[in-house]
Amino acid sequence: MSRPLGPSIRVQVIAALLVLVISTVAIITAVFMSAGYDQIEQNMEGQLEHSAAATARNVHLQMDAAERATKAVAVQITQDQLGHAEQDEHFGAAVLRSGVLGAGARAVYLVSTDEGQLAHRPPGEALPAPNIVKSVSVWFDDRTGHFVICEEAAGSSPGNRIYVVAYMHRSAMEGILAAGLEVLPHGSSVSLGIGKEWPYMVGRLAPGENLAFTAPVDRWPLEVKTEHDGSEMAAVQARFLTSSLRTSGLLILGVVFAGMLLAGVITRPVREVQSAVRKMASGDLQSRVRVVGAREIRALATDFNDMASTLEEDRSKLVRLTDGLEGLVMERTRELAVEHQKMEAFFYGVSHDIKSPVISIVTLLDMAMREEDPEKIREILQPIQGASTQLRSLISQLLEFAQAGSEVPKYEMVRLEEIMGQVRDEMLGILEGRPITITFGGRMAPFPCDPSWMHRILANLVVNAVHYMPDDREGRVHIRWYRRAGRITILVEDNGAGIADDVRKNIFVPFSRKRRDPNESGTGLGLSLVRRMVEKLGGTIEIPVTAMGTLVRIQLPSEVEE
Amino acid sequence: MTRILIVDDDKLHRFIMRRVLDELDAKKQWKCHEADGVDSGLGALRDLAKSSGPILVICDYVMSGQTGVDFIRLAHEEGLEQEVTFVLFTSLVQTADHKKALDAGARLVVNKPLGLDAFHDALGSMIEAWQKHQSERAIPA
Repeated sequence: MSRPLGPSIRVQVIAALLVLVISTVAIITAVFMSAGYDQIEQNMEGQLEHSAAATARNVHLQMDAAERATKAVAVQITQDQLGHAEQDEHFGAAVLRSGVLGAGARAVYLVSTDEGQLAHRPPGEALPAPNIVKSVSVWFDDRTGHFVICEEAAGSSPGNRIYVVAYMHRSAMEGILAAGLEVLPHGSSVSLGIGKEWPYMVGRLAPGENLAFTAPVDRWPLEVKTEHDGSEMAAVQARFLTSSLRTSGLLILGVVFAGMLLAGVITRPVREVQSAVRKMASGDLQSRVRVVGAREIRALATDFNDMASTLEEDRSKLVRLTDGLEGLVMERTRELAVEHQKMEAFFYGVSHDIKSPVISIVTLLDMAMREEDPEKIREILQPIQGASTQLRSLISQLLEFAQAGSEVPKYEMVRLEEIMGQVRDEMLGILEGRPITITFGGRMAPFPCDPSWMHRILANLVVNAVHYMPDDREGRVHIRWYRRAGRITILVEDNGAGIADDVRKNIFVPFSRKRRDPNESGTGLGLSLVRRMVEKLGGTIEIPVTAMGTLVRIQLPSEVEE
Repeated sequence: MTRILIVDDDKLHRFIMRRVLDELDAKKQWKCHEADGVDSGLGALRDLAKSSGPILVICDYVMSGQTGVDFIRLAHEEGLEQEVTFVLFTSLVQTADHKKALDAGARLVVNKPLGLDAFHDALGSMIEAWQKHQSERAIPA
């Protein structure tokens, strides 16, 4: 099965995480900015200059793009505040002079340099040495491509701020940067130095030092020193912050919306799978999920569907198996019920056939006991003999019947001629001169069989034939046999009255065929016994419909089945 | 005239019944007939039905080929049951067969007892009940 194609869930998750991180940063920023805004407001009241500086620094550190804009604006404002500017021919850079920086600043010297020399152009009056600087702030003006270096002169003090603002072109600054860092001696000119890899000059002149620039990159673009009256700057920053807050709010809203959208895209297919799993847990194995969403989700859906199909198939197999078992159990139960019924009929037959002669014997004995005439007593007792014989014969056949159930045939090579000879000899006593002929014959080599069983089978069948032979005819009983296609066939035929169809139906069921006369030796078990033995020898017995007389057909295997 | 027909394939049972009935018939007014199966029983019944008067048929249940119930059914089919009372007298009868016999038209189903005295009692009460039934039927007429 091909793996479903689509955007990786990893990508989605990463995107989601990214959005989450950005939104977190934005929120934190917003919180900070919000705090900063409050502080700037306070600053505007002239109370917390340092806090404002710290806030501004934070802003600079955190918001790259926004910072540049801020810087530019700040420079712009500063320039505006400084008043008119004029081009300095000597330095070839913008030199702004005069004007007032801040509420308390009296004069500002604007210095521009292309050489890295920080020079001072005295305006109309003497100013403190510019190289003695309390602090330096530097901006980069994107708009003009200049660095703005704002030095607060050493003589500057609250209420009399003196700034020197230098405008230095980026290219010049880069030259200085390439020169490396130097600490300038007191009173000497300034050389700016910074690592090559730093595109812009950043740094500050530490208070007390003559003039030195350090360039820690993580401090870029710069620290805003706000020891001056920062109301103007604060106003600008407040404006920026308001704008930033608005931007941040929109950004947060966008992020939240995008996050929700992304979350929905990711989680919907997962929820579908979850719902399907629940359905399955409650037994609905037909439950399937749509193969949609991220690659992993689609793979999961596919695997789930495969699993559901397998489970469903297994369950239907189980159901079929259970049904089969149920059918088997029901079939066995039916068979057992039939067996039970047969058994009941058997015991009923046995009970009846035992009780009948017993009734006769007991009652006739009572009669005999009350007779005094010996002749009459003999008359009564004589029939008892018949009843006793009947009883004895029944008991003996019952034993035989029971034995046939547990007995195992003892095979040896059997010649049917020999067995039939014995049977015919035994029959002579039973025939008692009745006009019945018994003949037999067949050409067949000896075959493996239990001779005792075969004797009982044939004797039973011949006795039956003789037993049911009507007296009005010359009876003939013929037994023949042959071997064909691996089967031994033995046929016992007679020219008797035949068997009625309704009797034939249950002919092998014990006690189904009733005796014609209780004085005869039939027990109702003979044919049942015969069938039992034939079947244990691996054969079959049947009594087919014939035009006249009776035909019993026995078929036996010609070899012993293992 | 009390006419009784015994239908039973057991010769000894017929012998016993005949003997007991003889002993019960103190006045020697009963006429007893015998048959050894369903076919011969029907033949005997046909003969008896030619002359009017009640007949008591004491019939065995289990006989060669056919049963006492078959006999009653066949007698009804021939319209021989008009003045006949059927009693099934059997060595052993199952409950299902008992019901079958009553449904077929047997008035009584009685198990053959063991011993002479028991035979006297069984057949004696059977005849008594039958005679009582006959006399009750005769009064309204």
